[in-house]
Amino acid sequence: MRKENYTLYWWIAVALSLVLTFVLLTTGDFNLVNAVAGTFLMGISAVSGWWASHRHFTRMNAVAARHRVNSMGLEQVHHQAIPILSGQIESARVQTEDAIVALATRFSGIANKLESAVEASQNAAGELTGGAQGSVLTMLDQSRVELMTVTDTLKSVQQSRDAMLTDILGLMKYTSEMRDMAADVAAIALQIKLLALNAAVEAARAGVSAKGFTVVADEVRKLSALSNDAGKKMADKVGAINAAISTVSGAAKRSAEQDAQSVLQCEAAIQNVLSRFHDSTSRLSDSADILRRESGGIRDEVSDVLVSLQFQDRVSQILSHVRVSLEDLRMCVAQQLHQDQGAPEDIQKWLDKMAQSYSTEEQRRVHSEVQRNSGSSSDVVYFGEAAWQKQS
Amino acid sequence: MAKTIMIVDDSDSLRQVVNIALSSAGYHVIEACDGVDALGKLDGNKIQLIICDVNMPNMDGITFVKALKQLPAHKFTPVIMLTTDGHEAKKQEGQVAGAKAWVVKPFKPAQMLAAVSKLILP
Repeated sequence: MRKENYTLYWWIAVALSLVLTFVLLTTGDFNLVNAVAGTFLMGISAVSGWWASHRHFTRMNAVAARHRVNSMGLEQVHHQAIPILSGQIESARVQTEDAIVALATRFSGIANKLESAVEASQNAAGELTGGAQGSVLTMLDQSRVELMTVTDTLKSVQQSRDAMLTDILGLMKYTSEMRDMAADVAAIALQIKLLALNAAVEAARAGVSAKGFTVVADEVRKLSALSNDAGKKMADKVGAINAAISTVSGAAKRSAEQDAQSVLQCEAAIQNVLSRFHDSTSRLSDSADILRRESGGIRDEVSDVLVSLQFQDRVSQILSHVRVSLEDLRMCVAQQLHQDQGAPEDIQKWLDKMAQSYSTEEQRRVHSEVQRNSGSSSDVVYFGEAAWQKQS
Repeated sequence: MAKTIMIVDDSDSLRQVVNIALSSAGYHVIEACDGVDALGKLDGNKIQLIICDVNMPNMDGITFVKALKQLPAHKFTPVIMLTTDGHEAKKQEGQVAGAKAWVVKPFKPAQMLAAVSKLILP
């Protein structure tokens, strides 16, 4: 507003004082006192009019100055603050988006590896607990049967050898009979020898005619000696055979005892090994069962994480809407800078447009809560008017 | 052979999350970042189901579904709308456009997989 507009107030005060002076002089007596009073009234009116207009002019200048400062502030908001804020929001949105995508990718890898591990564990558990035909427990049972067959075979061999040993010991009875037979042979040889001697004596008594019989008796005696030697040799051999059989049977007995001991030790060792294997596989099977049960819980956790990771999409949408709304606000501010009037309606349009762009319940809730706390949307504009009123 | 599902969403992270959920259930997943991209990827791919966001740049989800239903090859392809918007008016819009289901984010994978197995073409 120009200064000339404010002098109007002064002219009004002067005109009013002129009217009052005219009324005073025309209604009252036209004397010196009334003339002085009228003049004084005109003077007072002129001074007060000048003072009022000057004061109003000064205040309006101050308001205008403040308005200029505000406009400069809005200019800065329009050109710098809003683009910076918009850029920061977009930067935060992009960074969060990138981070969540990377996180989701890594999480996907972890989840796949976990799934493979659980699957492998379940397969192993199936193999251990006998779910499959070639399970470890089944194999263990088969091994137990086969190893027991080995020990049974060893026992069978041992029994065969015992039978053979019994047969060998039975031979000693025959050797004893052979020794008796050898003694009989020796005794018969001795009898023949005696018979040959008697025959030789009788031949000698008979004279020359029995000379041939003497030769026969001598030959019989020789044969008797040979038979006696053969009987002795037979007895010696039978003794040697008996000694050998005794030695063999003694060794066989000792070996059988050792073998029996070894078979018992083998059985014990096999039982220990199988027992340890069984314990180990049982523990592994139990662990696999626990892992299998836990895998269900892990799957639930994975599901929860997938739900949680979706926050980024909502955040991204909200930030995008904020960014678009900031851009609209910037345009609104630009319009305000070029037009002194119509700001409240523009702000209301901006608010309405912002409200229509919402896609999440949170946005609508926040918007309505802020509006409730701030009063009506026109109140937002009213702060500006109130500030003006307060300043003036 | 694994069935193919197309996920249309402008959010990389959400596409990733949906991809993980569907891949773990044995589905083959094709991704598109908006309606235009999705229409471009329809040709040459046998798609048994589409999961689509609503608010997207270039072409929004409702417009995409309308365009999809104009294509003879995909006229009967079921569409699940996956969006943060739970407004009844929007849901009506989606139904009129031809969508078969409306899931509000964030979704639970089990819930999504149940909807997929119910609607997916044989």
